[in-house]
Amino acid sequence: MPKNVKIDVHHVTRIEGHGNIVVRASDGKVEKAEWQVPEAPRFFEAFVRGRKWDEVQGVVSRICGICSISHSLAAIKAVENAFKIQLTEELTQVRTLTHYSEMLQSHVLHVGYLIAPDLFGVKSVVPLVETHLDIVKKIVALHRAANEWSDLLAGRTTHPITIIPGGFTRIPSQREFRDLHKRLSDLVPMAQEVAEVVLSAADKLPGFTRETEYVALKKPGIYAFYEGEIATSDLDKLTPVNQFEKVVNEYVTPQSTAKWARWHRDSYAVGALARYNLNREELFPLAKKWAQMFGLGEKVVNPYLNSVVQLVECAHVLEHSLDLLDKLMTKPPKSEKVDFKVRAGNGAAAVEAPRGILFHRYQFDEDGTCVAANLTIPTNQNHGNLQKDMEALVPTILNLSQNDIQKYLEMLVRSYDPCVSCSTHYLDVTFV
Amino acid sequence: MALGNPFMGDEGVGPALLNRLRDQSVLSPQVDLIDTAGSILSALHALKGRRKVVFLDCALMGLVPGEFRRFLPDQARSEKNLPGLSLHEGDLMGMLATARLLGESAGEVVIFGFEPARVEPGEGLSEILTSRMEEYTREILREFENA
Repeated sequence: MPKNVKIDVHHVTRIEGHGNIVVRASDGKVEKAEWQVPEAPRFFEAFVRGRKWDEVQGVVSRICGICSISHSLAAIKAVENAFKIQLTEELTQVRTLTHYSEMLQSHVLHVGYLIAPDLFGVKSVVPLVETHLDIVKKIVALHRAANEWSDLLAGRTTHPITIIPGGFTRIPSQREFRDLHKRLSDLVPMAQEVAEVVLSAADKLPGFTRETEYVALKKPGIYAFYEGEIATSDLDKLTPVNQFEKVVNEYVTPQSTAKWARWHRDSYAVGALARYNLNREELFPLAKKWAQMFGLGEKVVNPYLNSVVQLVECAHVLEHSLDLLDKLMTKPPKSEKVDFKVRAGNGAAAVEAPRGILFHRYQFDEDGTCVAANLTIPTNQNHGNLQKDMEALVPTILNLSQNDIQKYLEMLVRSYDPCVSCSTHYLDVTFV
Repeated sequence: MALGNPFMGDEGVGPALLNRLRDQSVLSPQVDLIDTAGSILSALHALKGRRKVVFLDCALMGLVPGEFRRFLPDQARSEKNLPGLSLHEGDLMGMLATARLLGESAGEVVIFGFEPARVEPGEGLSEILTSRMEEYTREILREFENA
């Protein structure tokens, strides 16, 4: 056992954004184990003040380049709730399909490019081209296909342009839906092969477990991504999305420019693990089969398995999308959008971004000008839980070499699939 | 295909040139103008199946600010030392090498590198690069004379 441990990782690689790991231990006693976020605040909640209702989505989609569709959907749903707009079932199906394109894109990027190197003992995906060429080609092909799926539904891969309050500026044609159906069907065996390769290396994932509170959207009958109310693993009741501030209870800590969140415990986790733990029974059959293949039980409390659950969600997303396309080809939307009136109102909405539950709230005056906004991002909800994981993990691995301790901590951070830049949205500052 | 961040001064020369080419509407319909939005992965995806790709990017080449070079991937070596794959910064040369290994590179790849005067937060190009935009455009258009 090393007598003293001094780890300073500035910044962790293979995550989105900047975060540091700091560990100090003397004579086998942990003095400090910290997850620090030094990213600059982004001020998006200030940017949208004074903007019109139809500009908000374009601004807030810029919070992120990976989950810009989720931000757009959350913003637009919040506007729709503020103006009491009700979409048709078919338009909701197209929205879900759009959302799924990002889910596949983000999960493949995370597992394929950011996590796989750890499983195979390399620094990046590039060396894997020489040792696992076939699988890297499949990962690239899956990612490309998901990007092109986003292009079709959202107008472009990053910062969507077709999604508007009330519906869409454009719905794909029946022929495009048919082509997409064929394309997604072809992706399923490809994704299966990638999952099997990850399975072959899954023993590299540490067996660390820590029970925590899990929070995700829930709606009976579906594995909730686009709609639902707020569920927690700690209670058997749902909280309306409109009351999300009572759930997140954001607060500031000295070690992070991103706020933390807590609900029934000191911290909670959002993301694929939370969705799985709260909605597992609603997975489509192939996804359930993959969950079984990976040995995932009724509840998964190992944060390192978040990436494995993301693969299971890829199977679900592909299967459900094929089902949605069958429905849309049978009964397409009658029009691209519904009519509505702009009015004063306050609207809150939530979607499951790839990294977890995402909340947006906007207040509009009678002209439809935004006068206030509040956004709570999945990653800032996870920061506190990541810290708790770190505090629990470090004492159990002090007997390892310093390099291995650092490796396991970096892998822990990566397992959360953090979008750190997204999480530093706005601080209320009082100068003293 | 433009790489670069239009909010970092001359690092945005690629997107600026792309917009200029788009506004001039002189290119054949066979030519796609692609702004990768700074995403090296988007650039990787866009290479596949293309006969020719011309990259437009700010490049530190040890030249006088404003100078540019047209070169092929094999004619240069990247000095970038990234710790791994980053979602915010990419190594074009590394990406092209990876694309070749994957068998997904374009038939022909050409790179135009533009030596910056100023790479720092802020919109708009430096005066030096702005004054040479017409010259840059002329040279880029030469690549597509037979498209």
